Amino acid sequence: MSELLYRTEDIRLEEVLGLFVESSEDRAALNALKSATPTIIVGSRGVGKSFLLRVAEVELGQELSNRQVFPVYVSFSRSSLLQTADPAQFLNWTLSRLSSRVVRALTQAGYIGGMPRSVSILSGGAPSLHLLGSGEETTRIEEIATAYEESWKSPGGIVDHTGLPTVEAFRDAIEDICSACGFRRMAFLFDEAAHVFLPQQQRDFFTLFRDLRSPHITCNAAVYPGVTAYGDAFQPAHDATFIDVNRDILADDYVQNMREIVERQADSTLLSNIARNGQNFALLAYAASGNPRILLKTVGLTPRMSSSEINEVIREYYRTEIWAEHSTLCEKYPGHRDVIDWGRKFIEEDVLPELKKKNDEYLSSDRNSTCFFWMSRDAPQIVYEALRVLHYTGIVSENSVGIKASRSEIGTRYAVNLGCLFALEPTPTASAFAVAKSLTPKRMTEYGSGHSAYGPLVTSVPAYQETNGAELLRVQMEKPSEVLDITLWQKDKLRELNLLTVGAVLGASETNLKEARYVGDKRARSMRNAAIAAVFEYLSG
Amino acid sequence: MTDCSEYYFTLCSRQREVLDQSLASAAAYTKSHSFIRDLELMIDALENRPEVFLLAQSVREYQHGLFFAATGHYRQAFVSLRMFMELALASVLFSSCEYSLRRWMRGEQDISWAAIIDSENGVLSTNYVKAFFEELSESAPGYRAIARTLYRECSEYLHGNYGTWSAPERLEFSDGDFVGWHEKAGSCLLVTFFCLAVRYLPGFAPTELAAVEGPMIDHLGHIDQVRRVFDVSVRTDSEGTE
Repeated sequence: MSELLYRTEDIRLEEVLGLFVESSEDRAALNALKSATPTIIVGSRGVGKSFLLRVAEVELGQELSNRQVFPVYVSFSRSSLLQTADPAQFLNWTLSRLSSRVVRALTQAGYIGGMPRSVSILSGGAPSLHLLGSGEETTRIEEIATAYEESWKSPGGIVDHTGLPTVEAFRDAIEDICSACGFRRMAFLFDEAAHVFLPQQQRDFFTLFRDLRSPHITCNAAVYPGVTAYGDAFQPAHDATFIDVNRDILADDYVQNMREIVERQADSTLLSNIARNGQNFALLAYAASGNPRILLKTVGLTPRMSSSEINEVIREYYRTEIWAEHSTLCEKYPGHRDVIDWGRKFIEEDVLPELKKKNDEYLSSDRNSTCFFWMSRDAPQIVYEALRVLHYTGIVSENSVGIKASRSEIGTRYAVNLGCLFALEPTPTASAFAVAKSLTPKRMTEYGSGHSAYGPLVTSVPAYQETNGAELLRVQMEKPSEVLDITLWQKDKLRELNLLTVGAVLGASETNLKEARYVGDKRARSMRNAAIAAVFEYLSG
Repeated sequence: MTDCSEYYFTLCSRQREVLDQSLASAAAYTKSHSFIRDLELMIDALENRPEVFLLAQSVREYQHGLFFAATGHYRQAFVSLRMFMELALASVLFSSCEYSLRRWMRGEQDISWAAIIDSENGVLSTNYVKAFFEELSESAPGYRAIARTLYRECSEYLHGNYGTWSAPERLEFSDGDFVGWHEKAGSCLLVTFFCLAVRYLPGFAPTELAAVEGPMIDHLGHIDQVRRVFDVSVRTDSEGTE
């Protein structure tokens, strides 16, 4: 069976459009990303945020002659590696990364030959612009960015950032470039923009996001749900449009849409098995709750699409594996342990059994089913923190805000991951499809402001402390490389090369990777990208 | 007898050894072999239609594929499978345009895979399926994806893509290629029967339906709308109202 790729980083930019299956929500998000209004797309891990940014980048590139909007994609996934003693390290690193990406993007698009002097501001005053296209040389700015990224090796040092532009100089330089190249504006697409568990980085990022705003720059970003520390300058309601990129599981074409995502990569045998067992596939699609990465992973585990395979995967994946990531957060962020543990207990012992009980009752009398619960806006803040973590890992998703429930109380409606709900069925293939097909948001379990389930959390949690990044990073670097979310084949290759810890993978070069059997230039590049993306995603949450 | 002929006799005896090993995997082989009979039943039911000649040729090519796969000529087996699917689906496309069929028979028109698989008017396009068997139109995109993928996979053997050179260099049995061919053969039959069902089932008389019920249900019994066509009570009801 062909290997299904479930990380955007594994996919070459030229192939992105070929694998893109557009839903109406995707198109709306893309239109917003391409517009002049700053847009922030929000979604759990694996829902396709990076993929949408890449599609926006490719489309803007193709439409450059009509729209005159130049796209620049920048990933900030390495932000978790910043460990200098410099309080402005995030701002400096971000500006250096952004500047070098602008110069690289202009070079690749063939604009560098006719560049105005302003480019030298972005490249740290390097006069040797002719070197930029060679791919071998680095600019002063790139050296600064790299120095920050390598600061995890010797935490607490200071990076010399001489030559880095200020935010104002950067904005002016972009304006000059736009007028010289005939661009109406540049669209920045920031990926992995703000570290979920480092509020200071979130504040710094949104301040920069606000400060960069100009007629010649549109900032766009992809963030995880739960990023809420915006700092003083950034006003969420005014300074950006927020778009939730979750797929609507109630849409008529939901299953068809999810099947197309698989069709773009699957071989004919898997496709035939899907056609012969359409309902089993639909069950997997519903279980994934709109998350393509989870769908591709679970489809990879059920090549025959037989009922026994599906039942086994729903039991194993949605009862244990999906929680593994959630529970790993406890190890990485011991300060959040009570909140994280309580969240799991709340869902497993309160929310899911209650929904299951309701569904059994509803379906036996031909009524609609539910996967929704509602929480009063007056529930303790700490309970919302727990839901924020559950949202981040994709166990729950926010369905609607400002919903009135019984006694006219206002609150938020959440949908729980359908796979977790199906896993409670004795034989999911026999009964879970009925649950999926009859869902209505009108039915929901309500958790009022003082629900008894909150008790243990409210009494046990001490005051919050922001995470100590350096110590955290050291612990993570020593973790076995097994913890990374990469394919089994890629894991085998890392073992073969003796890259046994997260730190070793991060420190390995492509040349190291090419020493493995059957790994050439292309595979080494794609493996390193996949491994490193997994390292950063692991580090960022 | 020349040295040259000795060489070919040796090949024949090696081919026989591969055949023995292939036939040892009786289940896969018998199943793929039974598909010939399934297609013949369809040919019998369509005997008065002009395009049936094409369908009959497709079955000949399928048998070549089966023989190649059994005797270790795997690349040729995949190429034959591709040709089988192309001819069988072309018979369906030409059934709805006799003019094209006649031009093809006169050598004035080629079979075009692009036309067969076209997303607007090809035999697996939603429009085409809607025109002949509307209830199956929602399933059409899935089957179109299978056909497109199969054609590409088999074409890799025809064009000698890098990945297809893993087959043994000598004439010998290869479990991976053998299993792979039979899996693809099953998928080809699935797509072919879907197209035949779309094009002909709604127009079949009860006797024709009875003749093809076995293969249709074997290949497409997972589709509710196909089962309903053969549902005796449904059929009797509709006949009663006429």
